[in-house]
Amino acid sequence: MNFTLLSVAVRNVSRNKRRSAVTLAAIGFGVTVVLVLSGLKNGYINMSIENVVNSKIGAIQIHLKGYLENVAVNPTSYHFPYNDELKHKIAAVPGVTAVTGRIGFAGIVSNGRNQAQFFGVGIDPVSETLVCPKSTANIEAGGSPFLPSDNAVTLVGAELGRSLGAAVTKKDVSLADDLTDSLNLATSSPEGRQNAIDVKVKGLVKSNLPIEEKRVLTVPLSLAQDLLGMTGEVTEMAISVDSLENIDRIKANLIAQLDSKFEVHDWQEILPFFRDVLFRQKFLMGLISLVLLILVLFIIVNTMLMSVFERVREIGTMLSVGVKQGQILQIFVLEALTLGTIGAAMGVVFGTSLVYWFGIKGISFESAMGFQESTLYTKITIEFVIATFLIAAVCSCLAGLFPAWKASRLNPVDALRSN
Amino acid sequence: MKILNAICLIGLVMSEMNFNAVFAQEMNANTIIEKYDAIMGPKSYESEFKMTATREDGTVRTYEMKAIKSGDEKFRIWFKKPSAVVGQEILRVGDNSWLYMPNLKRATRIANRDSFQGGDFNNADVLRVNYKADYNGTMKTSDDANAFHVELKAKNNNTSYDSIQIWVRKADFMPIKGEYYGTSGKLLRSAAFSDYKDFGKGFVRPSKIIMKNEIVKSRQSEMITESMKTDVTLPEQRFNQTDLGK
Repeated sequence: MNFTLLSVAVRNVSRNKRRSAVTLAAIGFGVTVVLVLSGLKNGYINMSIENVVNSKIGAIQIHLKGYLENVAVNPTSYHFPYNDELKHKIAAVPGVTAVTGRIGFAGIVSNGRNQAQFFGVGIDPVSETLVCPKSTANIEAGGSPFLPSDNAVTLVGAELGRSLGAAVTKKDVSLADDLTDSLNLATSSPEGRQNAIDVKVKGLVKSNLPIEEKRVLTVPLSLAQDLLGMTGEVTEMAISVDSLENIDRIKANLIAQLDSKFEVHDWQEILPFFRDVLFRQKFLMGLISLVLLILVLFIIVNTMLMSVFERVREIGTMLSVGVKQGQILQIFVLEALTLGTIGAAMGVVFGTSLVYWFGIKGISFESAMGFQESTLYTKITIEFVIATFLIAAVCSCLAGLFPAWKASRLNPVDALRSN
Repeated sequence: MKILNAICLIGLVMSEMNFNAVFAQEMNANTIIEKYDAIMGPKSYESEFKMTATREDGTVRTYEMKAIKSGDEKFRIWFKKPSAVVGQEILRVGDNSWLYMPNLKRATRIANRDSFQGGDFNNADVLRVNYKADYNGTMKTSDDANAFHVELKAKNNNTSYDSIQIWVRKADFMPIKGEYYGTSGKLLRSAAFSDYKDFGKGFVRPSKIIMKNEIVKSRQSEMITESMKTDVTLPEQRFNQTDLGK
């Protein structure tokens, strides 16, 4: 490495301020865009996961062995006692932040005139909100979440509720004739005993999944137990964790701690279709990022090409005063490397600042999604930042190499004569 | 001492009487249940009946079928009408029941609690009329002077109702009405029995049962027995899963 050449290169860069500024801007802008897009992508995926994990299912679920396979046919036969011993055992696993019990069951809901099949979820009103803090966020205006003392009440999927004319009574407004604040839930115990209970409607629940709005109905755990004759029993334990990144370790710990009659699943195994949707989204956004990266590289190459071809006469002068071809090549590569490094560094500083800023402040999605208040927090990995920086710097360098090589091979007379 | 003896004797006599009274009542309720079972679910029979289900949207569907029963544990149905269910069959052996679908050429398990062809009878109501085995009876004071009122309480968790109230005529034990309750004490269904008819050999039973859905009041199903031959001998292979679809 010849430091004279490096200093020439740096001086060349600083000598032509306009040209350097344009090149730096192109590289910096490209790197910024790639970083911000990646931040948005990661943030969006995290938001989607957290929306599902924190508002519906919990990060990890525990059932009796065979439950997930048979849930569609026979949701209630896999039940187990919901006691403090089990709860404490689960809560003692490092990383577990809250535990709650649930019952999933199927039945028929009716308003006295019409009936529809439903899938019911019995939740423990006290601990459910600890495991799924957002579980109450989807209740439509006028409704309210369960109180710990509630029993014969229900929160109905919005569309199911509306088709049955279900509404929440307000003290001062009497209900219209075709609306009712009371529904009847009918189902049978795992052994086949039929039962039915009248419940008050506490609210309608919105969802981003149409099937949930049409079919799902939530009741307090105590009511589900009464209805199904399953006193003190649940079919599911849902768990929240300190960080989804630790989920594999926590899951392994739970499996080791619990009786072998239990099965432990994380959210990806519980909602495989959701995992697949996320995978496709990730893939698609990755593809868009890649295309963008290529576009950005072309901008950089183009800018570098132009800045070299602008300087053909300068190269001719250098050649005619005896500068060697190799030295010219070196100077141009060093110039490109300087520009690439500085531009990419600027992009990294600018891009990561933006990602960091929106990572704290968040981007609100409440109106865009229409159903639920969601905030996207941009996020980026240090590996990705380093990789982007290196790719940008190296590509700028390579982009400078070709025109420099071409320029150095010119006949000095032709180069001098060029315009 | 004599007085003490006398008191003991009186006490003994009284407890004896008491015991007799309870015994008589139990006997009575159980006899009524036995009579009910004998009328509504004779040991073996061959029968043709139809069910008309009125749904909440006002649609009415009529199913015609043929059924055979052998003992308390074996039952089989062939559907004749409408065309949508022609070829379907139901088989019950003990606690297991299967619905055979001709287009799938396969029998699937069905549960006692499931609705019978989407009507208001459940499968147990049709396939498993054996109250004596499933319920304990107690006499109740009847509001109808001509009827016995018996309350049936489930013996175990496997029955489809928690309790049933039945009213039967004192004169001939013919069922008049029934009420069917869930664990919560909620009335789920009510039945009215009528059109008592002699089906031959002096075997009389109601030929019409109207089962009202007490939760969705606009729903009800009507079961009409068109023929019933009792004391028939049926070939054993008719009650075998492999015979379904043949």
